[in-house]
Amino acid sequence: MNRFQNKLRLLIVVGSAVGFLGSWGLLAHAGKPAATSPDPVVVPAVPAQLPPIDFNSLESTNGSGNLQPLPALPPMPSFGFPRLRTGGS
Amino acid sequence: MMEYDQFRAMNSEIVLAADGEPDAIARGFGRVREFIEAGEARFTRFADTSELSRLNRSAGRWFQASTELFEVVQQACEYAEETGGLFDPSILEALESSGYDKSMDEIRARGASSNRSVRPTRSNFRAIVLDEAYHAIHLPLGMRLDLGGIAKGWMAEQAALILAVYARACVVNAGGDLFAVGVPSAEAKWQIGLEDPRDPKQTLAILNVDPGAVATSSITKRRWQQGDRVQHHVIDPRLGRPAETRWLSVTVIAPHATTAEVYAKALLIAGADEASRLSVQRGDITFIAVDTAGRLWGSPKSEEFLDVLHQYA
Repeated sequence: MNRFQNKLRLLIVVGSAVGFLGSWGLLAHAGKPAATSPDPVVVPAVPAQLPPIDFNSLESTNGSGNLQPLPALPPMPSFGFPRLRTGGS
Repeated sequence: MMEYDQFRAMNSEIVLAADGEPDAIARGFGRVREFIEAGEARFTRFADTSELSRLNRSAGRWFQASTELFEVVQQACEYAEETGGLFDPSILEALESSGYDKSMDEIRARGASSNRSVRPTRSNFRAIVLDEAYHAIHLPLGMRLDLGGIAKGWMAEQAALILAVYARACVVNAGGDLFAVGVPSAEAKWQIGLEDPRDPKQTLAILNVDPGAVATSSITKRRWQQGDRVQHHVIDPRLGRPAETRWLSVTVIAPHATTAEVYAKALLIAGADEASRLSVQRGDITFIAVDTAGRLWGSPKSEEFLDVLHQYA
């Protein structure tokens, strides 16, 4: 019984050592992963200032930048304004 | 026919707007109020009994969180990583060190606080550990979270989805964090007034937006005197003290309210150069910033959302 236990221990020790050394060797000779770099991010210029509208001159101008000037404040809709507003809290 | 309800919660004005059958909408308003009151009780840092306060007291050991708290903390950590730490939920120590240690209503009643110096406090969201399988959260010893802004955005979106069951179209506006579902009959877009951060009673522009989220972060609203300094509540996590920025407010239009809320804050802290890079990197947001002179600055597509501009020279 005692001899059988000793043989079993030896078998486990030798098996573990062979497995460890084999795995080590396999990994040591495996190809290295290629270095990756993140996708390039297009960095835009500083955000464009939105062109101001001078309400005093709206009636006689055709526009300001890409914004469409309005001749006067439009009638406010029956919903939404000014009850729905955003400005932080 | 648009129906409205308005009440105060989370130290903010809550405005509900819904288009549809009045009786059904009235039931929806009731359910949203219950949801927001329950959410405030869960996420507030000003009540010892809230789940967030219990999480903060559990630092150093695992905390079993509700589905709602876990989801918000998980999103907060993901956004913190995405923004490179410009948004960070672990800034509570810095916030309190700057004087924001009571609700804003109490601070205003208290007046100027003592002349203690601001102690910069570094935050570190990467030390938060989450176990998704058990909805468990582990904060390192000494760390406490503030979920004020992101929880408000999350609640606005969830509340709008609840209200949408009772309405054709609706908006929930939680202190400037809005989420819209559908579009009112006979209208193509929702119209949202953009407040002038220098004078909130004035409207600087009207935003025409599709269903989705709009949120604004501003340094002009939650302000207080600490000794000889005027402080505000937007903490720069990199410095551990109120951010120094030439923008007074940033408004973000995004598909989700937490995205809009987080990026409004992160871009306000980041400033012009970094804000553009972050906006492009994210890809699905548009921002409009207001500087100290009341001038508007925006990402490339922002003009598409602007309708009427009031410029005060």
